[in-house]
Amino acid sequence: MSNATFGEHAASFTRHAPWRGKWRGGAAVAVTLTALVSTSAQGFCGFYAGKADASLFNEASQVVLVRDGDRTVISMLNDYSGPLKEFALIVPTPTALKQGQVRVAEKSTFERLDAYSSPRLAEYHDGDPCQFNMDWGQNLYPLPMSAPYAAGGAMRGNMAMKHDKALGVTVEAQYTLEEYDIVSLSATQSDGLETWLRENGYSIPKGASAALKPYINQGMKFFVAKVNLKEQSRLGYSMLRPLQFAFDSEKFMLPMRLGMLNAPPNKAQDLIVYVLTKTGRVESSNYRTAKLAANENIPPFVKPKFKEFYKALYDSSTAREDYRVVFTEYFWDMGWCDPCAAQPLTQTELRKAGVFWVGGDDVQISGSASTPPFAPPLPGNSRLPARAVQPMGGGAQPVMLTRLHVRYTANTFPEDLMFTQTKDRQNWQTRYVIQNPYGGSVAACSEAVAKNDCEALCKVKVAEVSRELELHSKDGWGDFQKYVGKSKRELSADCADSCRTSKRHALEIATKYYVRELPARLATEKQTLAKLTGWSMADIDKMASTDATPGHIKPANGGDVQPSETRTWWQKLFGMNRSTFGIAKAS
Amino acid sequence: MNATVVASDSFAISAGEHVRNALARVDARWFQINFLASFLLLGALARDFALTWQQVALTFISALATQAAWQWGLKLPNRKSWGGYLSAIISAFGISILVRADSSWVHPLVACIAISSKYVLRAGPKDCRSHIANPANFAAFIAWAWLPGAWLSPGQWGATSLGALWFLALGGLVTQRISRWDISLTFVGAWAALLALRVVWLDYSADVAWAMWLQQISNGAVLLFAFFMISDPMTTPQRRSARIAYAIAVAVGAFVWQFVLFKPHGLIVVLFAASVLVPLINFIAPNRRFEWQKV
Repeated sequence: MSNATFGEHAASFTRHAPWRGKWRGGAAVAVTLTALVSTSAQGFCGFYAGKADASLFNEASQVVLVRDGDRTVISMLNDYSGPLKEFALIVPTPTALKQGQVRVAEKSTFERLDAYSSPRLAEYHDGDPCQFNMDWGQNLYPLPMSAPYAAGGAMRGNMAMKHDKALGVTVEAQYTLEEYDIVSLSATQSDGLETWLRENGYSIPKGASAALKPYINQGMKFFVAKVNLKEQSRLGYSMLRPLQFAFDSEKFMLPMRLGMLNAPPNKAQDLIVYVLTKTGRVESSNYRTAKLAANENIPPFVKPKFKEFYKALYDSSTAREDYRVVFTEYFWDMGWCDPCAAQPLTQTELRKAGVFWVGGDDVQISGSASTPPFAPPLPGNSRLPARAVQPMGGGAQPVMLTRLHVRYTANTFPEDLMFTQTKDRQNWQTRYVIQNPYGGSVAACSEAVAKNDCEALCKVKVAEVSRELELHSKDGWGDFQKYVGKSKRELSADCADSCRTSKRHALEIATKYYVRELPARLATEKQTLAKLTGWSMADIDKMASTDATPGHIKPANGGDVQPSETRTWWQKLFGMNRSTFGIAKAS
Repeated sequence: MNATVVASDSFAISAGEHVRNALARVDARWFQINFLASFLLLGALARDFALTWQQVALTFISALATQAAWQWGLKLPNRKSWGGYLSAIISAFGISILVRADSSWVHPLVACIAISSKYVLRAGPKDCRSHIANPANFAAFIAWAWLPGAWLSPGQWGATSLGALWFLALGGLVTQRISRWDISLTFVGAWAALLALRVVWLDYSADVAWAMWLQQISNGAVLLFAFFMISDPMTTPQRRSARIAYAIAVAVGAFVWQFVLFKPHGLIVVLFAASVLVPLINFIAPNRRFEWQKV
């Protein structure tokens, strides 16, 4: 019965009951998984073909971390799937969180961020290599701007009183926020805290005291939440909704260690952190941050298996680094994307994610999703937009998204994850490319080329040339030398010769493409695939032979409105939370 | 059979002596250059440093050109010999290893400013007047503090204790040769002690505390700092007692900056701030100025 973990980045533990909860994968399953879209692209030479979102990774916790200066907003999504009455969450926080500093966030925020920043597959198509181009009789005129063959060519892109006192525990605030009963605690001794939690109905795992101690010694406070089932059924929710906290702290970190309490020391867990900042890319300051191998060409038959491909690539990359590295999966200015796995978040969505510097200094009380500031509205169906969204000019404060993916064990990440914001603004994404071969053959090309009747073609061309010679013989521009002074018979012979050469040339190019280039390209792509995923060549060959929404947006909380100058920055972002009952007042 | 073994042993000894004698004739800075080059290669190849070869090339060109311009402009005696440019090469390596940028102008700019600072920012008593800032430290500081699109990447080394030992051994060799091993060892000792005190005071369980301490101390950035930056004989106090106190003060300062104030890049920032005090320390505790020389 001890198969539940103590959380991931934050500790989740059961109440009044032995371990029954079980972490299950699929925090963001609601995202349309099967969206494999290929519609035409603008501003991006290629086609958006698929993505590998967070739901791929079992037991992946997701955190949205918004930071500018000391101002921090953290949202946490648990994929706890046990009985809700047994769920509770404990998060060490740098300051005691009072009412108003916490709100219930929406799962859709995570889904949108995930969809927007997922590793993506871009698809390109080769042009037809079988091109009969006969330029005889054409070069009398000034040359057109583009060569005819190049136009059809492929584009390859690059991209919680007294008793309490005796225990050393102080209840800093206690209130009910929507479906959550919340307590903010400060403690002076970890045994006292553990006793307090037990006496108040939280069954916490063995060893919790030892893990809580360093946080207490660091002066950190504890945020404890459990589900108020009555409120929950009144509100009509059945799922655990994420919690969001706003506070000021000089600590740019994530207390991930507490979550490792119940995990075996060598069991790997996944954590995806979406960091939203103003200046630049965010990396870990106490662990190595590396970029995954990306922008590689992989065989076209991987397209329907793109999710498996990315999972294998991530598995082999983390194993190779012995689970000691933080991987960057995406870094982009949120104003645009190219190719877009999903539209950038709207200003309203960004405010919901906790980005306090967009959309004015005040909470937006809007009844519906507002018009996106940067991009056209999302289509109402599950099909994802394929084209690139261009960056918006103008003085808007930028929002930079860094998506970090960590696979860790208690042994490999002995310290909490600390971050530092760099001034790096080079957009980067885990993008993979498939280049589809043209679906023809040498035989088909041969057949197509043979349809050109040289005799008939030349009859027309010779007549045209003769006429042009008569009209423009004195202008002297163009390539007249080839034609001047020749009899119609000679011109016909030249034309017939050129026609045969063009046919041979078309066949040669097509043969080179189908017989040499394509097999060589596929071999290279297979090797790349093997290198990236660790799959065996035999498995890859087998694979080759069997080839084959955002949720509804609820209005932001209204409530009492204070004059804006007396309100804290988080009140301006979250608004004033309604509480059913509460001991502490909003500060 | 035995005879063969004896013969090869004696060969080994004589080869060892030969190498030692040869090493003793070479400027110690050549060792630094070799080691820094290996670390840069290790970082670029095995640790995928966010660095391009163009940035490295521009750093070297800029550092050497700036050094040459000052040497010739001031008609310094070393301007025509290798000896006059070794320190610029060392600085260029230091800058390449530490500074990260999303453009190609940052590296040459900081290299130029850092090298120029050696000729412009000078202070101290007559006998040991010298430049104030260690060029690589100064370059890293200005890149982090003032330049757009530039940053430092303290986590870039990862934590592999093997690499750290390698680093430690080589660094020890180099610093011994330039008679500043005292400051390196004092710093590493003080830094290690402070980190150990922290994990003990925070009361982590023993295994976690050990793993955490090891991870923090074995960071390549700490070792690079201890053996190739704070050990710079030109920018550290000339008297040994003062030097030891200086190393401890820098370690304490950096610890407070990073673990009490929670600010980034403690070592770089605090060494930069502390270096300003060195001329003053040299006034209070004077000693003859260090000179690079062949041993």
